[in-house]
Amino acid sequence: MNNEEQTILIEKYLDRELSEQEREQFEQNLKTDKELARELKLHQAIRETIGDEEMADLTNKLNKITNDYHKKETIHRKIKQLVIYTSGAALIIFLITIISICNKSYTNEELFDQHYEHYDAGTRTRGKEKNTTEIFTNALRTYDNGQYTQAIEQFKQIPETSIYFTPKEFYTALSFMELKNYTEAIKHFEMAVKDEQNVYHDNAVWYCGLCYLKTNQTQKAKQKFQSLNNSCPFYQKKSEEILKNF
Amino acid sequence: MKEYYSDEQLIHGLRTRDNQVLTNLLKEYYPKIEKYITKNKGTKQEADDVFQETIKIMFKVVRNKNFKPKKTFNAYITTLYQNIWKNEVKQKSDHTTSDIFPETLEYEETDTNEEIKQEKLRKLASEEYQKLDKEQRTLLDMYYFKKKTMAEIAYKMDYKNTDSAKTLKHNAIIKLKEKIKATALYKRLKD
Repeated sequence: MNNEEQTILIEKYLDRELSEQEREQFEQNLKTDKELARELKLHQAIRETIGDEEMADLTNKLNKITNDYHKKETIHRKIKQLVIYTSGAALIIFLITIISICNKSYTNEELFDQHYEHYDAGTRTRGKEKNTTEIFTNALRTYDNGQYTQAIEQFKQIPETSIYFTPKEFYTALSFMELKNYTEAIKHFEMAVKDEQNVYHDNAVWYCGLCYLKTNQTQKAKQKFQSLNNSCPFYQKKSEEILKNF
Repeated sequence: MKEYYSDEQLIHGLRTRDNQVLTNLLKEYYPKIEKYITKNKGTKQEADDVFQETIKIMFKVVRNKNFKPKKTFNAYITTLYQNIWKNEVKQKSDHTTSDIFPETLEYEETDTNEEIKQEKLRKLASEEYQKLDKEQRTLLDMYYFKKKTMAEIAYKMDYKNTDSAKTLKHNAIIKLKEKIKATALYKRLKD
């Protein structure tokens, strides 16, 4: 039996086109003829591959769900990576920020900007004090109104012998600071700090230190801030902070 | 999210090719199969193939309405995919696989080798079928898949008569068989 004849015979058997006798004979041959049995299996596999509607449907469904699964898996993996990278980046940024905050050495300019605050003479809230001389009071008002040049002129009118001498030096210095004339401000602060008993003393030292910072006289600035170590807690804390950042 | 299905529900769902059951089987078994195969010198692509083969064989098995696993559905399917892969590895080389996964504890003694071979043969037939020329594929598809009669095929394909259609169909089958038999895989499978 040649190849073609065998193929026709197997196809007829599978299509149930053989007579009963032919069928019995074929099945008998299958028991002894291994080659025929193998050929039959191959035909069955081909038929199942091409003709099994249910298997074709299953294959399509499996292909679809497997593809969907892999797509989702890829997306999940990417999201996971993104979360890890983002968290890592955030952590690094956080650490860098912390380290830089701890270790940063500031320029004098930066330290000055961080710490300088306008000093309010308080005339707008205090009102006129009975014991204050008119000149000093008016000068303070002018200062509080932001007219620093005029304030300086008014403070000049207070004599060295006056009890307002140290305060007027302090406010004159502050006025020069506001006018960004730090060299002049330092001169007046230095006059003000001489009177250690005066209530403006610690303030004057603090602002004087800031003026030294601004003019890049770092050592002198440090000396001023160090001298505040035994002052009131407010300036103690501020000076410790500023010294830590040098 | 994976849902819980009883063995009966899984068998019924697989028999009816229910999408939810198939998806659940994928979520449940694909990671295990992938882990098993990649730990035993396989690739992810091979894991894909083994998963599909496993489900197709299971489908063929459960299509028989009398099917009942000796232990559990899980034990049967685990044995099956491990056997498929062991078979594959055996064919590729002589090295033995190391079973290191807990699911082997639920191993079901069953002879699935014949089914595995037949599934491989079907896969091979499918690949070689795609290599036939278009006319031969259409002819076989009309006869085996669309269940057309030879007379209908002769009419639709514009053949002289039914006998011509029959001859061409036989020629197409012979051609396909030759292609299959020429492969190395078939030579291994038939031994």
